Amino acid sequence: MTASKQRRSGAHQVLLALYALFVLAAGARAAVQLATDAGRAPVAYALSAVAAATYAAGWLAIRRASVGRTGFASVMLWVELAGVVTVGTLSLVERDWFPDASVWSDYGIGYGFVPAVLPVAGLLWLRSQRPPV
Amino acid sequence: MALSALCLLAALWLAVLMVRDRTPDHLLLNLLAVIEVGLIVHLVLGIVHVTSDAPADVSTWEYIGYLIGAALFVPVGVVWSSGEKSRGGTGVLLLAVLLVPFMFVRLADLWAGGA
Repeated sequence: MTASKQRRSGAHQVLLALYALFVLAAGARAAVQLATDAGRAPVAYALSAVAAATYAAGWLAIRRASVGRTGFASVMLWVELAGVVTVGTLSLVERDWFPDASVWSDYGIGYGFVPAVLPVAGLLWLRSQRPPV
Repeated sequence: MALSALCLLAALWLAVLMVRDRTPDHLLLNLLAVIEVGLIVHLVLGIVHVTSDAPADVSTWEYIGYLIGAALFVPVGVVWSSGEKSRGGTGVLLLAVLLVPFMFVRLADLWAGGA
């Protein structure tokens, strides 16, 4: 009883909602931009689609981790963080590749830097899921 | 703008509920219902507005997409939080009501041609 009660803080619900939101936001953005004007910034738009796929995988990873299977999340959230950092840095260094912004441009500045905070928040939550060794 | 103010009021209320670890009460659900009615009216008026007298550079479908999105967050949040009676479930609803004013900002941006 106490164990199940502890699980009920439901913090991961907020994470799941944010990941679902970003699947929609990044996915819709990539789909519209690739469909209407793909030639303008193909790298940026393709990376937006990659971001959407990453959020879908992240959503799944957090769902699995919330029932104790943390393996996928412990890899996936680092992949996501690496993606944000890599694309964010590239967008600053290789301006030519980004004539238009991508979801992770400038570390997610277009989304109030939530994309940079999200994997870190996820990893912190994941730590709390595991019993201290 | 009145809708944004109501959303922020609901958000404040939800934050208090989260701190006290309570689930949403009836009064709050009534407030959310009022907001939702307002959002549906906003959706209809917005579609009429954008299809009749929008400046040429406003992307009609994108605008309508954001209008529909704004009207969907609150019902989705209510359903989600009623299925998840926990602090996190209430947090999801808080997120939903905060997204509504954000959608209004995006709609204003689109209308101004800022895309």
